[in-house]
Amino acid sequence: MSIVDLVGAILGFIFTLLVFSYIIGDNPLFRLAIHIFIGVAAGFATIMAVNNVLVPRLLIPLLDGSRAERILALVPMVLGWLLLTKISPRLSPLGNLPVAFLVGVGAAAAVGGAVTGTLFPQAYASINLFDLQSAGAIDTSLGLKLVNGVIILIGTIATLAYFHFGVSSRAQQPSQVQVWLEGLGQVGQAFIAITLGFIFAGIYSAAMVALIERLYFLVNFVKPLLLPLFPSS
Amino acid sequence: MGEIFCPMCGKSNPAESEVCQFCQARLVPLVFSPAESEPPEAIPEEMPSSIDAAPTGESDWLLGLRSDEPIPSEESLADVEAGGLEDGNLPSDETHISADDVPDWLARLPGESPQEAEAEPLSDWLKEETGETEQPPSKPVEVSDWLSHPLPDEGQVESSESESELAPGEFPSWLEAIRPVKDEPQTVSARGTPERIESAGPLAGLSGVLPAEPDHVRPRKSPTYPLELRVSANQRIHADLLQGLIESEGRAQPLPQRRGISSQHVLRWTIACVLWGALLWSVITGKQEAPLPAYTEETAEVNRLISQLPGEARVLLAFDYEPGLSAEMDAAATAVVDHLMLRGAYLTLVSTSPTGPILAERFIMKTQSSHHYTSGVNYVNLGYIPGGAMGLLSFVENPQRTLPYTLDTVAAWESEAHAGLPALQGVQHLNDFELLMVIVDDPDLARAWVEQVQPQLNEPDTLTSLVMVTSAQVEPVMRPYFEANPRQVHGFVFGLRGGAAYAQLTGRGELPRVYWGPYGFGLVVAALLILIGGLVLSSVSLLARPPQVKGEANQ
Repeated sequence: MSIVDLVGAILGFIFTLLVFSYIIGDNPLFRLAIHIFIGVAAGFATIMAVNNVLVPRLLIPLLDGSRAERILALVPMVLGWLLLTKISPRLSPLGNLPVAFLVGVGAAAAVGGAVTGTLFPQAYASINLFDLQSAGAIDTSLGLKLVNGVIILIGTIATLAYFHFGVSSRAQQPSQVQVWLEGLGQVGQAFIAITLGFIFAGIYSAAMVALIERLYFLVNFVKPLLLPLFPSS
Repeated sequence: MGEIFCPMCGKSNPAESEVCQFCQARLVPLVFSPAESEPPEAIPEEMPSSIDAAPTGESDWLLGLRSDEPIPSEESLADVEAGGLEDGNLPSDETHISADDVPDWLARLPGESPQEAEAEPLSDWLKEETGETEQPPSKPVEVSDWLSHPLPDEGQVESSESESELAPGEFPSWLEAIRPVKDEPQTVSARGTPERIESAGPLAGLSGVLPAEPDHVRPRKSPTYPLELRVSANQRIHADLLQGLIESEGRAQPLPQRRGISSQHVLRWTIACVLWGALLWSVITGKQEAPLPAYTEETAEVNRLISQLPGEARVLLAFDYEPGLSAEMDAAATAVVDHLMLRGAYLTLVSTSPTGPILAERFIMKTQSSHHYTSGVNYVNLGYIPGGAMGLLSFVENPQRTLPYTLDTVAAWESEAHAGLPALQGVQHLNDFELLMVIVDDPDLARAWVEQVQPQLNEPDTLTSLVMVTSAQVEPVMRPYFEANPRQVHGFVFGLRGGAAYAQLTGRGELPRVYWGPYGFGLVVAALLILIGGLVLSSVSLLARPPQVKGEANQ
């Protein structure tokens, strides 16, 4: 084991204990560990942005690139400088242009991806659940596929009904949700509860694996130190 | 006091108004009563007198208003008929002007001297204005010739007209229809119903006038829709809870007072000690070995795809997870990446997380050290893709421009001046990779990969497959993409369970085997804790229930 590995293991052992101290409540040791983690993560992200983004994609084209590459590199550089003006309240309006560019392109990419990657394919897949020829070609258990399709269809409609907040309005009568829609929404609520429970179980599972990994780390770190004390074992 | 709006001009009028004060349009509908539908009677010859006859229910102010109109009264008309005009007598409300009140320019006019005018009697209202009490002697006023002749009867007028040489002109039908009817009997409409004569407003005296205010046009109050939403008690509680949460966002929360050891602390410590003790005992002793789980369809599909890869296949491997979940992700991906390396695949590592590239290096060095993969030879780390979904889209469309260099700032792609790294030789587009594998812990990030990358792989001549190694919490999000027809994700391995199942398939992968025993034991302990906690809580709540409630429950 090298010195670097040894120092890393010691720091890992200490910080693991600091984080575990949260079991007695919020305390300065836990907060110290959290602040150090946040600071290290921010510093690492900055270094990564400089080394992996600014240097190869801005500085190298500006210094060693062709004329076209230099001109193209000027555009993100100007936008980047304009974005920095957001620091100053007086100059912050200048930063609206790059912010608008970022928000607009980001929204377009997200919405376009959601439509072409999730909305249409998933709707198409839901319809295909009742395509008997296609289902038969994939799996011989046609009845099971149909039952699965019916459950998915009911779950989809019921979940959508749960998020329907419209009410029927009639003159001289108080507005109220339609009874059948409310009942369907309760079915959707059950589907949502099952889904959230499934996700929570996944989070719990991930946390337990992390705990097991840390316990293995602590044991493996301490065991060599304790072995000399118990030579017979 | 009510008000009514004029259908013509829209202005407000008192509710009892029959006509609009502003435009004289009718406000009260002109509706025929059964009594009025009797055969029409002849219209009285003297229309003004008929107008003056106050209809039932007509207000005083309207009568007063009409009395101010310059319509001769019945008495004055009687005087006129009696030939009073012949003598030069004017009706009593004729204005008499004194000589003092006549201006000079008027006095110099020929035909009448101021003295003569002075002799004229003053009217009542003028007397009141001037304060005179005695009425001066009146002198007949000279009237013009046309007025001095007696008014002929209607029959005489007709006879004289018939005697004249000029032929009577024919009125157009529309003019005939709207001319005032004085002596004509009430006409009957085409439907057989008698046409009502307008008795008020500027169209007074005309028959067959279209009613401008039928009943269905008559303004009335619009129906009111109550804004109160009928909600259940449960919904009300949720709404109040949400409102409280929103309001509490803007309020400064006082610092909680440091309390001593409470029952909650004791309970938390107890659960932690039980769970940690069980896991620690399992980790130290290693006696809780459990059989690895059976593989599922999605895991077997990943195994099949990797097994079918050609030798030295190009594989894109994305490390998109945070250090906090590296334990689970390492355990899930170890056996899969091990399988890839066994197949001799060239790996291209990318990440949309700033910490992803260094986690990828750590993963290769620590968990796959037995394969002796070398950076730049067997694999290439292209580093960080900035921009989230935008960066992903850019990478999909043009990977060479998005990530031109490796993590060590070395030109990675093949060009005229550079041969390119072995892992990227022959790769110009994303479809040139044989397999895309994403190791991801975040559901949103996993969905972003599917949404941005998968549509690019749908081209007909594309054989590239997309597989995922995910955290257990991502499985509900990823499963619909796998079970879709056609599949958007061709296979996935989720969590420690998936990694252990894959390890069972390949017979390799030490990490998930090591973790699987304590993991299963910890799950059993956690389930027991939940069960015991639920029983205790139920017992406490049953014992703490008030006696009267018990009685009600028994009833």
